[in-house]
Amino acid sequence: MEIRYLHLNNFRNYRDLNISFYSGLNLITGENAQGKTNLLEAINYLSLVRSHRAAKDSELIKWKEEFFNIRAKINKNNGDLDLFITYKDRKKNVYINNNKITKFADLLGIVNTIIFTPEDLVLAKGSPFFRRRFLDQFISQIDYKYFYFLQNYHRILKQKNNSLKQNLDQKRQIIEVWNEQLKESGSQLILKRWKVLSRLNEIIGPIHHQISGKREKVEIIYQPSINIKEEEADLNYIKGRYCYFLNKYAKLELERKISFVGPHRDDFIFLIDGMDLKTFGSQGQQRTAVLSLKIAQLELMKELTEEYPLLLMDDVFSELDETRRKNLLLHLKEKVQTFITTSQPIQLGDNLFYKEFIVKQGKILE
Amino acid sequence: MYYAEPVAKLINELTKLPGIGPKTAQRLAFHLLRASKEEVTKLASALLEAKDKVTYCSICYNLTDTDPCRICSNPGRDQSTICVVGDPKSVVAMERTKEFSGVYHVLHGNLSPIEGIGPDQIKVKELLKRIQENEITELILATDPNVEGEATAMYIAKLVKPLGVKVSRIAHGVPVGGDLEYADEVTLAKALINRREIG
Repeated sequence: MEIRYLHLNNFRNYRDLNISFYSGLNLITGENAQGKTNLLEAINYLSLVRSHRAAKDSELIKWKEEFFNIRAKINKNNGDLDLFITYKDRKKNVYINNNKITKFADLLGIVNTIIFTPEDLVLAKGSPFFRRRFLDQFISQIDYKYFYFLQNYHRILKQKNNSLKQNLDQKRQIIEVWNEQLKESGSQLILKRWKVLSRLNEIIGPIHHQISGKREKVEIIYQPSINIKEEEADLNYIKGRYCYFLNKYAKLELERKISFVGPHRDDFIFLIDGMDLKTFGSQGQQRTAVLSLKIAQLELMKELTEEYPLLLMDDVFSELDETRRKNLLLHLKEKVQTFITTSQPIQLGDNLFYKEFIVKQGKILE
Repeated sequence: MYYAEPVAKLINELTKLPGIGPKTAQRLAFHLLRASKEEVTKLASALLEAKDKVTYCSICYNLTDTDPCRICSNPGRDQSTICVVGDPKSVVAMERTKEFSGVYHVLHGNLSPIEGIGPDQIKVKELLKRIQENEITELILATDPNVEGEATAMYIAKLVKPLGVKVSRIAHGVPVGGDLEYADEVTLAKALINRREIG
């Protein structure tokens, strides 16, 4: 998949931008606060029609303007398409080849992206919340059913937590009713997470070798809040285990008025040569592990959708040392359309094709 | 002050209606002011009449102008089969199918602790009493197919099971007359799980 052409109208600091991208590496350079990240944000916005940094779409509108438009020409395996997004009066409309899209599900998978920013280091050293968010966003992008079960799960959980806090006559029966539904939606989430993480674990090893050039062994281990034996992970087995744990903690949950069991308490860990990366890894090891995870994600997305997603790297490339940069570019070759922003000049090999865009105050000099 | 006070008051009252925002309320208010006095009186008295004459049926809690309602008092309907629904609108939907000859029980809501709705806020106790005092053989749970409707159905099923009544939940399925490709994946997956043998 690649973006051939992008037009931004009143998006962030871009008044009117027309830009044609290269199918391989696109290097976006310029000083700070000129609009490099805004450009990446616009590209990433195409994927879920949501910003990865702004909570509200209204923040994306250029200062003192009332609307923004984004148009992109996308080239996919099965042909070209024209994607148009317009936002005005707190309303967002999306058109594909001039046909209005009415269901969010129809938009999923049109543009897939993988974005890597300096904040992603929280995947290695932050709380489980960030790793769950990573999983949920990734799987939702490729599987609408997962997205549905995820929304359902959180709705039920909210109802259950409310029930736990209230004084009700039939409290135990009502909690059972929520648990019954949590088990159905939650088991689907656990199964999918287990499948995705075990595949990522298989892929990440060789990728990590290639990028770091080191013989370290990286592993990703799923840590669901309910213990499951990996070799037996099918839906009925998970439902059974889920039930067992819900019953085991039922009394404690009623006492403490909190839900202890379920995917909202899941986590996964990185091991480097068998040691926990979060506790024992250096900053450099953590950064490389996150990079390897993102590239493994890229490869898995290719496996599942039969097409490489777009790779967006915001301000992280310059933080890698020269070996890792070279190894990374070697891995991506010409097969992945990549967008890299950097404020510092970086040395790329002589025999590497790329296109450079210099951003200055919301305008692009090619 | 943009509006004369009576106009502002009218708009304010209209905004309280479901699905009516400030702009629609303003349009309705100006429409009513332009209409003849006779038209407005008709509307006002229709509102009052409906409010005065319509009550809840003492058996099934559906909206009615006679008590018991026309469905509960109809000797042609099977009084031993109860279809449990969330609101009166669902009764209308079920009746339109002309497939159901039993009677109804309207809960007036679904379990939803977030909104402060527990079993006591909906007509569950009334349903249990009805089952215990009458010869009921079958209960069809037709609450909404969302999280809260599902929970309400499960809760009632749990309470009713020990009473020896046959309990069923309406199925999820694909819409009739459409192409399969237009059914969303979740509905289709559920329809697949609940498939039935044919021939």
